[in-house]
Amino acid sequence: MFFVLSQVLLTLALESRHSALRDPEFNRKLASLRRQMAERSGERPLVVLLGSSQVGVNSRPDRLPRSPGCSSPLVFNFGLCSADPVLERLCLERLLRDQIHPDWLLIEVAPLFFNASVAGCPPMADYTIDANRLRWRDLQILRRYHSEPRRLARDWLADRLVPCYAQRFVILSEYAHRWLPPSLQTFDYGWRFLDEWGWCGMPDYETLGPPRQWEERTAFQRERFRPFYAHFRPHQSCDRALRDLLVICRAKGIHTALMLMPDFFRSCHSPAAMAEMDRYVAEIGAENHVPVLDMRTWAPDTGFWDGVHFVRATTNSFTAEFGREALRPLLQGKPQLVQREKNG
Amino acid sequence: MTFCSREFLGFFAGVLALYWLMPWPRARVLLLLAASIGFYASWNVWLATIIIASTTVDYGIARGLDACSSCKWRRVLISVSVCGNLGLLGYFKYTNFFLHSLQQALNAAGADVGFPVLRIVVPIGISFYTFEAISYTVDVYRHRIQAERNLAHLLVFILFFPHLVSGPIVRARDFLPQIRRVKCWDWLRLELGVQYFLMGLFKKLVIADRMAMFADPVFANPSAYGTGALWIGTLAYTIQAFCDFSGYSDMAIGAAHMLGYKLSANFNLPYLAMNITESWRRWHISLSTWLRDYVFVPLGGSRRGSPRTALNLFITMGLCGLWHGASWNFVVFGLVHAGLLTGHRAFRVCCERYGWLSRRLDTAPGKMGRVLVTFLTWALALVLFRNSSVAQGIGMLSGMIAGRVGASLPLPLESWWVLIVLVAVCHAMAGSGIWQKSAYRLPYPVIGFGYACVLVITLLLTLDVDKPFIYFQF
Repeated sequence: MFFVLSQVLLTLALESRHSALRDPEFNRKLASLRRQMAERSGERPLVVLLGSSQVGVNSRPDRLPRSPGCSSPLVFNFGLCSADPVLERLCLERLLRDQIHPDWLLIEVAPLFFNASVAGCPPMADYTIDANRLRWRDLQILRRYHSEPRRLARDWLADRLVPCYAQRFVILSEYAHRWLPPSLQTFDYGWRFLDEWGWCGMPDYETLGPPRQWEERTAFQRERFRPFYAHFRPHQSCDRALRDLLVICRAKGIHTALMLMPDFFRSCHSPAAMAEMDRYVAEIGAENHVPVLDMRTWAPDTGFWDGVHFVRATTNSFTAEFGREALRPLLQGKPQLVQREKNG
Repeated sequence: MTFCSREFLGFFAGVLALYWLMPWPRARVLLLLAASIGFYASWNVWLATIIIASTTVDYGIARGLDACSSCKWRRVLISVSVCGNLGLLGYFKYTNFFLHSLQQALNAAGADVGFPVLRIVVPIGISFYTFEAISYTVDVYRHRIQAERNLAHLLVFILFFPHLVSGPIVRARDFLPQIRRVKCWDWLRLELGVQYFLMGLFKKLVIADRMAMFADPVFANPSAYGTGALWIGTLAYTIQAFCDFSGYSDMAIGAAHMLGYKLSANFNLPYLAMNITESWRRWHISLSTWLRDYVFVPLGGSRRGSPRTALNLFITMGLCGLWHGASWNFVVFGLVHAGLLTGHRAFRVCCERYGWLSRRLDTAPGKMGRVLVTFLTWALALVLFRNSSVAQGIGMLSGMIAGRVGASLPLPLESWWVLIVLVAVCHAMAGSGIWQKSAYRLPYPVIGFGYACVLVITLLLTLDVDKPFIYFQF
């Protein structure tokens, strides 16, 4: 009886006072965003960058160049670890639910992360979405996109029944970090190193480190995505989530743009796959009248720490360039300026 | 399906509910049998048929032993049973080991021979149930018990799922009468079972698995680590080995209690032992008593003088080591313990001769010193047990004793310290009886609150519920 009571109390705490523990990465970013919004002057437009850790780590809003004379936007990085269009869609729902209405939403499209060209490969969201992080209303949204909605609901329920087990690593990382096992020492990196603009400044990415280790890391990533280099076909659920996301933005009057972040793997793709990816992104952009910020060649290979995330210097230089050549023209209504390619 | 997994908890809850809802004792036995077969089949269906077949053969042999009065035929029957069970154990567990050892010996002698490695799947828990089967037929042969007439009862004795895969090694004379006894629902017994189960869960998930976090990297590559890390890893493994196996035994005893059965205790605070002989009386009691009753005593025990006793000890402990695994390091571990036991016998004679020595050792500091020395001796012997080869074990021991510069463990040591102190405090409390006394005096709500806290802490500190128990490999 005491045990049941303790679990009920813990559930209540997680749903109310300690709700940040339910999904620390999202909730910490949300809290920072609220603080930034409270400090901003009324006329500064709110620009939210939505995407995976490629956005979360690789773009640093505090380093964006300020344009003299005009009101610079409040740019917030809402990149979440392992986020694909399904999680991006969920993230927007949550923001809107929390009365946060961005003026601009820049949505990362990382085709490699939702490529379904290999038969039997589930969408990334299926294994990256932790049922534990979801609320009831989130579950209702995700059920539309998940390939096994019943399993998701079952996991969600099981996690709710014994929260001290389901939430154990989050609780440990918060209150007894040194009790986390070695394999989970980096478990909370997604929210431990966040700055006030949502940028995730992981210490590992400070420098490239020894060349041999860099080669091993990048080779590992290249190998990880090898099955997907030949062709590109989007996962149905990811494609639907992306389209739904754009529809919601249109309905809510949110200006949107699609971002293709610098791509380490571009040389690995077959010409056919590249053409299929380009066609897919262009098609989505054209159908929804959304500009595409194609920045795939904006960083050299040696600027990547592991093939996905930038080393610190590259983050800084890329952010400056992004602000100057992508964001500013976009906000000034000249997005065509950024639909060109640069040599990395 | 390990005891800590969600699948097992669901399975056990279902079996428990059905078991107590059934009003017919015979149906309960059949349910236990079906559940036990299902439990074992969740690992491997075909291997489950092997146990059923071998138990059925033993059933027939035992019935034959009961019916037969001719000494010669009785000897033939018992030989068939013992050889059959040992043959099964030998084939599944030791074939590759013996072939590999033979190949090494022939190669050392100059012969160029190579034996293939056979692809044999070792049935989980085979070391435990073959020993149970042997003890059953031997006890029937010795007229200590009568042969079981009901095959289902004998199958439940061997296959009873709480003890099936990692013991305790149950004796037929203790268990078979319990099957026949009609059982009634008893809240106190259920509470006792839950207590045992919870304690086992805590030992396994909180202490053993966390200690493995410190021990595993050190034993994976001992030559890379310095003396400090080697000691940390060794002490961590010493605690892990105890908490892992005694945790499993506690869960088995608890699950059995909930079903109305009593399994014998397998551990009795072994790290409070004041000498190595006492250690073996407190550690894996069901195995050490089995070896005493079915190997050591039949060899002559300690009745034929010191040299013969020493020889008997070396044979028994060598087999004990080999029982743990098909590798020479286990055999050496057993032989080292045989040496220690022989040495202790000699030291005891010394103490009897020199009264002052006994008196010193019986003082409080003397007792503490004895506990400490015994614990450290046990820990050092475990180095040979845990390493993959004797040479690696000896290398690690030399690094621990002689001092070596090397890497330190790249892990925060807070949890290591906390758990070492916790195990020491719990041992001290249980050893002095404070634990038992306070448990009886505390009001029920306080005890309930305590259990809830233990369960919450266990779940909070669990690393991985699927990490197998150490003794599954034996």
